[in-house]
Amino acid sequence: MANTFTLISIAPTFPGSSILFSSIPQTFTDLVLKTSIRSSTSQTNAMQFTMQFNGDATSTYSSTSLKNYNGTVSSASTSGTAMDTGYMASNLFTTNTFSPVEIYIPQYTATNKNKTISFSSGAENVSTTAYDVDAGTAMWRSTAAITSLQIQALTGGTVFGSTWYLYGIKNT
Amino acid sequence: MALTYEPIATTTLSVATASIDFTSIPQTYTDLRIVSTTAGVNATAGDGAFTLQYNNNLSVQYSSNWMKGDGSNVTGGITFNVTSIAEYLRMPNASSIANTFAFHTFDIFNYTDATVPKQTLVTQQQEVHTAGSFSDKGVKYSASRLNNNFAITSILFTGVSQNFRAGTSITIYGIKAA
Repeated sequence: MANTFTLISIAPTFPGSSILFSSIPQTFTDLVLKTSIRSSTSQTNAMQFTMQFNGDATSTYSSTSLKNYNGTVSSASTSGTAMDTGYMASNLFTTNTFSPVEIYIPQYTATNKNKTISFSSGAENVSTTAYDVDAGTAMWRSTAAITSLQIQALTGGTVFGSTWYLYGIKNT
Repeated sequence: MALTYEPIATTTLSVATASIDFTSIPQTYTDLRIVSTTAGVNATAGDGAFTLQYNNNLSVQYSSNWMKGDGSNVTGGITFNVTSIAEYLRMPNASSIANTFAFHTFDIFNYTDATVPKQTLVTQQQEVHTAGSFSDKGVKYSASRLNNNFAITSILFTGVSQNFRAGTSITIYGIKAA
């Protein structure tokens, strides 16, 4: 039997301000993006990043999140030209601390469903400030099969050692 | 080499259906993971519900604690003595935004262990960019317990006062520790 959980692609460790996974095979059921990332930008707070599918930059995205930032728990809802998909440690966070992020995209080839995803991220800082854990859902209001995904708003890129792995999961 | 993560069964509905029952679940894995995309057929704007039971156990032996964010508020709670994992699971009704399905994951640990109650971690994602009466818009995370030690051999999904919409899809994966 073929593998259920297969590595599709690995992004380079020195990406620019965006990362593109293109020509995604249409032979899986779900996609999972797993990362361990740290921003090159030095700022106090964790860095947010966003995602688009198939190069669509129109206002067809929305997100709802649940987060703990510096001990304050909140929920936010956004809509716009990209989906909010989590936060990562900035380069001012505790040394050698990378953020784990998982983005799960079920049924990415379905042409009868808008694309609803889940995301979870953690930006742990050995400090009483600027730590962040964020999880939520987002939707691309399109029934198109996903053939590419682009992570954006990576201001300044990510540091050496950051990893981006895209997996396909097959249900047969 | 045997696979660690293996699909056991998938159901994708071509017509509206009241319930989906996975039976004769192999007892050869360690954990189960279920991934589902679901929607209902009710015409009322908003979300409807479905339930999930193990081994057709419809008794009040389930409990859960949960937290959720709807885009404005964060709430949490606990339920006891209910008849379903996570009490009620939510999915968009038909008159919600077209082509929108809820996305759930269920992680059932040690499902064959007949010495312990069954624990399940549930994530619920219902992103609905529309108006309507939604009980659980946004995200909800639950830790659920079935106060019964039986090994899980079947899993039943049932729409509450409505059928699952065509396109609803549920897959069960087995995860093997050795």
